[in-house]
Amino acid sequence: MTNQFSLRHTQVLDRAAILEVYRAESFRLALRITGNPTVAEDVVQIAFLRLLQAPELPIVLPELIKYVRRTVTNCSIDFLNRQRPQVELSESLPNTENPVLDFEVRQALSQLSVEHQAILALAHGEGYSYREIAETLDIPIGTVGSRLNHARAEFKKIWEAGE
Amino acid sequence: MKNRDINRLLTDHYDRLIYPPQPLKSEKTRSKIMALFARKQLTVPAHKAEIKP
Repeated sequence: MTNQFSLRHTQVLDRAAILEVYRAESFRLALRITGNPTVAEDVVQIAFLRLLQAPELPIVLPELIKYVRRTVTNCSIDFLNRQRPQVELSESLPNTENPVLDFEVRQALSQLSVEHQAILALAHGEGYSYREIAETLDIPIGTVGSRLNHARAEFKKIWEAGE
Repeated sequence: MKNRDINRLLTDHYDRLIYPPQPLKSEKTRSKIMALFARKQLTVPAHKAEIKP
C-alpha cells in the first residue's frame, strides 16, 4: 500500500516537473484567448491540475504538447463560457504599446462567440496551422477554414460598426 | 476596411498582448547601475575614464 502511494506520488511529481516546461507557452495561449493576464494564470492552474490527474496523459513528446495545448484551450473556453454574460472587461486599459486600440479590439472580440474568440487567438495569435488548430480544438480540419472565415467576418462587422 | 487590414489588426493585437512595453525597465536598470557605482561595485576601466585631448 505504501509502495503504491509512493509510486503514484512520484508519478505526480514527475508530471509536475514535465508540465512546468510548458507553463510559459500555456500562459501565452491562455492570455491570447482570454485577453486577461489574471484569468490566464487561473486558467493555467486549472489546466495543470487537470493534466496532473489525467489518466491518459501521453508520454510521447508531440502528443504531450498537443494534449497540453488542447487542455489549456478547453479550460480557457470553459472559463469564458462560465463567465458569460457577466464577463467584464477590466476597467483599466491593458498594459500594451497601444492600450486604447487593444482595449477596443478586446471589446470587439468579447462580442464574438467563445469558439470564434478561441480560433482567432490560435490562428492570429499563436500562428497555428489549420492542422494544429483542428487538433487543438478537436474539430475536423475542414471546419477550421470555415469557422475562421466566419470569425473574421463577424469581427470585421463588429469592428466596422464601432468605427 | 480590407480583410488584410483586419488580419493585421488582430495579429498585432495578439502580439502586443504578449510583449507589452516595459518603460520602467531601462529606468530600473539605470538605477541599479547607479547604485552599483555608488557602492563602488562597478567601476569604469581606467583607460575609458581617461579624458583624452
